[in-house]
Amino acid sequence: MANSRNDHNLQQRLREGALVLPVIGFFLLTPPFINVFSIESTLFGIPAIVIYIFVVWSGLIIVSRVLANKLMSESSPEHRESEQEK
Amino acid sequence: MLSANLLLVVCLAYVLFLFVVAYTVDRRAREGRSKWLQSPVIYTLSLSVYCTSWTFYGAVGSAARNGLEFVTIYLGPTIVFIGWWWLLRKLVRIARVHRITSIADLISSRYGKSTALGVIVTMIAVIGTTPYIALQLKALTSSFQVAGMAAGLDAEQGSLSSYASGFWIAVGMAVFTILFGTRNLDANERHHGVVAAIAVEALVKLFALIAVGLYVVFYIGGGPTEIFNNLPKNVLHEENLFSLRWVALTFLSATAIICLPRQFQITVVENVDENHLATASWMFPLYLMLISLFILPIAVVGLTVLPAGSNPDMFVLTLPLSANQDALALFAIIGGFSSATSMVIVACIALSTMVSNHIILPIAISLSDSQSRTSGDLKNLMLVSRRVSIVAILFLGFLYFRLSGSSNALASIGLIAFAGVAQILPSLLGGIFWRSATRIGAITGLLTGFGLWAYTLYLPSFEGSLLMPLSVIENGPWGINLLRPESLMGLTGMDPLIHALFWSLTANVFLFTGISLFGSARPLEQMQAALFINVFHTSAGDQHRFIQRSATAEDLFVLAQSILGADEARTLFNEIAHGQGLKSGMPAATDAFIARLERELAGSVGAASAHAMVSQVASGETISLNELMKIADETAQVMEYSQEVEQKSRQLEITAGQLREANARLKVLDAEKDDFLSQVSHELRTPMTSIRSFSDILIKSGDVTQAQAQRFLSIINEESLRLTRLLDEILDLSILEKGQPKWQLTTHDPEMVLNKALDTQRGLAEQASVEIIRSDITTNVMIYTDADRMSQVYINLISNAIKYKCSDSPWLKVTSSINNNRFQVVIDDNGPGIPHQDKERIFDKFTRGRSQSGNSGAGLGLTISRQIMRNLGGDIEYMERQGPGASFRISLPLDSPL
Repeated sequence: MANSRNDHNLQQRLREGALVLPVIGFFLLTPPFINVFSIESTLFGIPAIVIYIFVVWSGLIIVSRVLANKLMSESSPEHRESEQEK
Repeated sequence: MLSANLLLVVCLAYVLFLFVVAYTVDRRAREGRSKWLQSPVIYTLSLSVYCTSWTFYGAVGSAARNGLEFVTIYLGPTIVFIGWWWLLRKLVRIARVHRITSIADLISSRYGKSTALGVIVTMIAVIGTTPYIALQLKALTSSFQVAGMAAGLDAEQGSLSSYASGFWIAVGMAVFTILFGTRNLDANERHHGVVAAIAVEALVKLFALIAVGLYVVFYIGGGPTEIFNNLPKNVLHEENLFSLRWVALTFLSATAIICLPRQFQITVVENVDENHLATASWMFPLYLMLISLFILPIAVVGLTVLPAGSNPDMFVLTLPLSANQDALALFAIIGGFSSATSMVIVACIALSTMVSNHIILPIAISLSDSQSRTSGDLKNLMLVSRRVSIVAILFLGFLYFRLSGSSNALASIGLIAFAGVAQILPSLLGGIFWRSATRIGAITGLLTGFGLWAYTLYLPSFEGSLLMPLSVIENGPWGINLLRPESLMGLTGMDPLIHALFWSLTANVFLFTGISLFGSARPLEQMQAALFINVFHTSAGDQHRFIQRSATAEDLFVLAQSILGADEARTLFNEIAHGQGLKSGMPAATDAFIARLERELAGSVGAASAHAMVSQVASGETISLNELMKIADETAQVMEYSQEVEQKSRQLEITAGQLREANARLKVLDAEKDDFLSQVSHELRTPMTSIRSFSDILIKSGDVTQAQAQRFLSIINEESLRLTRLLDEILDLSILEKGQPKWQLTTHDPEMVLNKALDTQRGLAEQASVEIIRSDITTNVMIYTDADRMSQVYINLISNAIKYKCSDSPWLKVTSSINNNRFQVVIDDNGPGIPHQDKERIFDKFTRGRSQSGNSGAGLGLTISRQIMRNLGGDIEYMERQGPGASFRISLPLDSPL
């Protein structure tokens, strides 16, 4: 009983995470926040803003991958049910 | 040197290769051996039709002109895909359950299978996409032109051949699309061959761009550090880059990945398995990131290395050419060719489906008579109309390219098209998340938004060459300044794209929501809304619960075979008949069967057309609203219900606990009552028995002497007095226990009350030769209490002490004191005392001590006394002490609570 409740909570949180992730992405990649990194300095000779955008991009991809894998393994019983319905 | 012939041969070989891929996969899919081909990776790669030649060539141009701005076009889709769980998954599920064939079908089906909406969305899609196709043709011909010029042909020849090559490319793509896109009328509108070919093209364009990028960065540019050190001033446009335009472009590209017809086709319609989305959610953003990785370096190197004035849109091609890397340039051309052809092919399939399902078929239905259909005639009509549509769309694109090819108007068409299809977004999101969205609202919003888009952005982009003359663009129609297309209502100083986006989407959203809120939906709309919004909770099979129709199975069969063809229709009907438990013959035309047939047909011709055709055959359509409202609210109810249940069960638990307690108390009380009754009857029986027996003797025996009779009568009298006393006591007790006796409360000196009570007992004490000792007389205390009741208690205790004397020299000691703000009276005697175990029991009803005299009361005295004291706020206790005898303590608070 307690176990299934935990599972339920975890799945709920994963879903909420899936909703929050694009919002975070949008926040990080649009002004005003992105202006924080719109500075003159460079890293390995590459402008900071270019590095910033690609690092955030990679971060989003990695988090999304982790989240997608967890969502799929968590919701697989439900998925199986819907397969049976067909 | 790249010769034109080599170019032609390589391109043809590549196309041939694509044909082989598509053909092989198509055949394997039909044989059901395509498991590995329907993998999430193939799905993700096919999504890259988003990256057209506008990306392959144009992104570098955009980076050269506007710095980092090109990234927004890929950030928007990234954001949509990492949020796949909430939007894309729902779209895919809806499309699968309701056999959606295109974005126009989705909108039309959601808003009550509306034909009008299907037409509107189709028109928007065609108008927005045709220029986009022209853009691909232009990019392709320019790439050939550039390669041709490098091959030594002069510009004159190049430009002459550009239209010809554009034409032949268009023809080639039409052939490919017709062959693999309209081979048959697939029930699910899926094209495995095309998808596989596009996945191959996705890899080719990615590798081509990365190859060019690597070469440019490390051989021409000398490494990333070197490149950015030579960064020309202001190439990044940092100071005003992150403005409203940045946000608007991110939003636009996010919208485009959902609403572009070709994107909807690949993401939603061609999706084989919902789980593929999970992989695509990170892999597609990764693809986009990889493809944009080298854009900026290529642009920077192009700007620094190539002569001033070179077209930045062709840097991807001209940079390798300038370094005489012919093979790499060829690879780049193939990459650009891939990105252009994949877009055109998918766009043509999506548009032709929409045009034939939503424009041609409704016309055909209204023209034809349902009785005169023959097997497969509609099927053929559909296939022909799709093929014709593909040719027409490509021809339109070519025409467009031909008419505007020389101007630069095409360059900006990508974003303009994005803004056009963005008008579909409000109706789409409202349709799948908002139950009150109505058809009229969607139609008004779409038409207004689209109209404003055309007026403020699309037509002005032609710079006077189409419909809108230059004078109107500059001064407004009839010289009305407020109506100037690029600064509507005097809103000047804005980027034209943002200006148009603002006006069109604002009007669209406001009208859509406003009219939806004030209007009401038709039953069919309500049903579709409920089915779409709750797609994860209801199945499409529920449909037949709402719609009741009647039709003959024969009519339905005629209809089915005219669309699906005779064999497919027979298979379907046999399967359904089998499902109904019939051995042979036609299935019964139940509501469930009609609904299923409509769904099957919708997979081929779209929901609106399928509904219209089934309605022609089936009559008496009624939608049961009650049933509909029930299902519509089911989901909400289930959620509320489970919370309510939880709350209620908690309340129930508490109530049950209280009930258990009350029940236990009741049981005790009930036992007490039984006890009491049996004791009372026992007590009553003894005097009654003697009264009855003596009166018997008096009545029956004649020889009773006067003296005897006198004695008997006095016994009878005594016993009746005892009965009366007993009954009085019981009455008294019951009044006390109910807590409602009539108190006569006044202020008294408690000593006086005690002394009076003692005085009344002195006679009795003397009779029994009991000595009364009175000690410790306290003074000057007044208590507000009932004096008669108090003395009743004293008398009861004193008389008990006298009654139970056993000593040879019995005495009785009464001590009063003030202790702890309480007035206390202790009455000691040297009688038999009370055994330890009876200490509390003596206060129970009908409990007596062992009396010496044999005569005793009913055993209610102490019970009554305790009740009186407790009611007065005091108490009476039995005190154990050393030596023989009993000791009772009466206490009463000085500050009476009464």
